[in-house]
Amino acid sequence: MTIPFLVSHKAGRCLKFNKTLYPQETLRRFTEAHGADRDFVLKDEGRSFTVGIKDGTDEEYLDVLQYFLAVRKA
Amino acid sequence: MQKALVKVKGWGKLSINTKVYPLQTLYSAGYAFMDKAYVYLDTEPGGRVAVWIYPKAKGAKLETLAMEFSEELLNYAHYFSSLKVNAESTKLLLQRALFSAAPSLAKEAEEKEIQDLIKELEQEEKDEQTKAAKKKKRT
Repeated sequence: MTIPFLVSHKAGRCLKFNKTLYPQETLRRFTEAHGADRDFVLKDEGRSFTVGIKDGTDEEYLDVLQYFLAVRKA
Repeated sequence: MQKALVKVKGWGKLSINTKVYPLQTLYSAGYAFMDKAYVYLDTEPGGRVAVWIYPKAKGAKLETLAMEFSEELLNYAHYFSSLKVNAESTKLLLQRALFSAAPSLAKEAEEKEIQDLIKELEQEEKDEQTKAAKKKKRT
């Protein structure tokens, strides 16, 4: 599977999240909860921020998307 | 007419107008789709939100998923708008149900209302006295 919205970064691939749609706090919580088994890199870019996973697979990036929607509903 | 579904590398992209479907609706529809598909949201110019969908099941058709997503959007938009419209009635019904279950609550509410009215009257009286005193000083 290829993820078309993954952004290429000099440090690798990353997901770009718009702050209006994805509150930074929610994703910070996700990275804190899963930080032990994955190496996350969060970068603030003004209106958006990026989440990079060191050597992250597509499935790991998709987990981030799933977490956000699950938390929103809860 | 804008093409409803754009396909990119196995993903389907729907462009949603947030004036028609608020964000809350989009999140709820996305949540309802968690078992069927991966969902990613992104902003687009003109107050639109791009919804990227990737089917989880092999062989699932993107067109069908997109149509189901649209249905889910309408479903939640209707749910939230009804919720807003019925909010006052729901509140009244709940209050009535609670009061009938515990009559002491009704009495407490009545007493509180009386206390609030007394406070309001006292405040009004104070304000009038202050105004009169100021007037007297001027003359």
